[in-house]
Amino acid sequence: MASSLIGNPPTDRTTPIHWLGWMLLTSVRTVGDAAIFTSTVALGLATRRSRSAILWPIFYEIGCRSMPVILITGGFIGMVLAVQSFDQLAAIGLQSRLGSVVNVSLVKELGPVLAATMLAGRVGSAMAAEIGTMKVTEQIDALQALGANPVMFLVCPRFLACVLLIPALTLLADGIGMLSGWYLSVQVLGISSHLYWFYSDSYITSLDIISGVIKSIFFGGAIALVACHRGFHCSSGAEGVGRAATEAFVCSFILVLAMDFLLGVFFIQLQHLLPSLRSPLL
Amino acid sequence: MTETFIQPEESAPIIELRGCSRGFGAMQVLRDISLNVYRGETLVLIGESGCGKSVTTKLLANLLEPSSGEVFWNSQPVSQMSAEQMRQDRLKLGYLFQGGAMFDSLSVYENVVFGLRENRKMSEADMREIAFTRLREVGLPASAAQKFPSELSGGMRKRAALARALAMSPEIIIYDEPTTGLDPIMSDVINELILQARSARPVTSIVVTHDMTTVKRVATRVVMLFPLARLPQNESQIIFEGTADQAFNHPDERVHDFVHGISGKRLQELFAA
Repeated sequence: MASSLIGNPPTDRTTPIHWLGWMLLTSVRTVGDAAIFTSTVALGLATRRSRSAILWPIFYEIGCRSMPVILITGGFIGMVLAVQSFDQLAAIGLQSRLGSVVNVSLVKELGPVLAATMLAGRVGSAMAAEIGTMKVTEQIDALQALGANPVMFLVCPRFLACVLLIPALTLLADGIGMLSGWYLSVQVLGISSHLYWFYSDSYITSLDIISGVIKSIFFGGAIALVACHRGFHCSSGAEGVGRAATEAFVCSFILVLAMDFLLGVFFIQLQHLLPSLRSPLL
Repeated sequence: MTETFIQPEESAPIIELRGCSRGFGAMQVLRDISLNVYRGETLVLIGESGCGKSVTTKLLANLLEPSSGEVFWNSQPVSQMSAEQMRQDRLKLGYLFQGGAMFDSLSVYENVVFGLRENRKMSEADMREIAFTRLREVGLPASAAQKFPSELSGGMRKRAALARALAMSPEIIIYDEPTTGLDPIMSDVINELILQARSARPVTSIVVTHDMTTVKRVATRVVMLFPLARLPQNESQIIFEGTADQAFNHPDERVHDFVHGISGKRLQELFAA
């Protein structure tokens, strides 16, 4: 995964045992390095406040400039879900419940995961490339030489922006997906608007909304940490920067899916333990 | 090494590398380097590309840690310093990076005041005064302050980076290839600025360069490093230490060829390889 952390693969005595040992050591080193990196960020967040002049441009870049891509993605996902689900439900005479299928899928799973995926591609790769370029051009050394902590200066504001704004963007994706799904269901597929919203309301619980938002907070944190970590461990040259950006997307996407699974299981168990959370939203 | 530069015995080194080695992955760049930097001197590091000059300066500034050996600042091992003490001591050190390393997302003004904003509790007016004074000292017009680094020429960017390094009034300034990539006139301007920085305030300078004009003009002491790959196992990587004049008249063929720009033996080695 990490080119600069991996070191050179064994070349002199390449038995499977050597390879296994090398891979094991590399994995342990990478995980350890990521843990130290994360704890440094946590310490930075706890001890120092970023200047607003540094925070606002990053918030604008991650929040405002991601809105178009989130609106387009959310809009199409809502319509795709409506189109794909309609035939299945019509076959068993339950097409009036289309709203529940579209909106529950959006709020619980597709909204958070797709928003995180789009942001891992748009924001995560850009962060890794930007920090990687700063490393290659010695700007990170310059930060240190000028008495600034590079992790606190570069990572903490990006981490904060991702953790605070990705949930907001997820809710935006949910909202626009619901509206586009409603528009297609009512205007094209001929579902009653009243029934669309009635069944949506019946099936979506407050826990669904909360779990979607909590998932997106985790996704935002993971995207920021992975992207910045890759940037800091970027190897030299244009190829190194490109590789860091690609690794940032691939690693954060895998992490988002793994976290989605684990958090999904957690929230299902929580729902079993606390049945009151299953109450409808309104 | 046949001639030895006489160190000022009365002063302890301000920075000292003691038996430092450093590699990157499987590639060893520095082996058992010991080097002292004395207060007030202008130490010039020369040597072929890839011999470890920039790595040496990063070890001196503690921007890199040695894989073995120890770095001392004012006789204190840096490995035993607290993070806060390290940060405070590092502020006494200005660093002009090879490519300038200006922060792309900030204007020239914000670059110059960056260290002051991060470390000193100063009013905006005071920072502004320092920034414009430093920009004037390096010959940049006030209008350059609002520009971004990408809008400047190579020479202007290097001078802006020098203004940033000088803004904190450092006691030690490290210049990493300050004239590389510049035309001869701009190189002379940079050399003049190094001399001016030295005469304007008591400052210790460490200069990494391939430019022999710079060596002649600014050096009080010259150290030459030799690439490890072509160095005999038991020989020190510092193959010369002395004055600029001693370097230009040195009998060692490697030193002589380098300072006079003679490809001679190196060319034969390259073709033989």
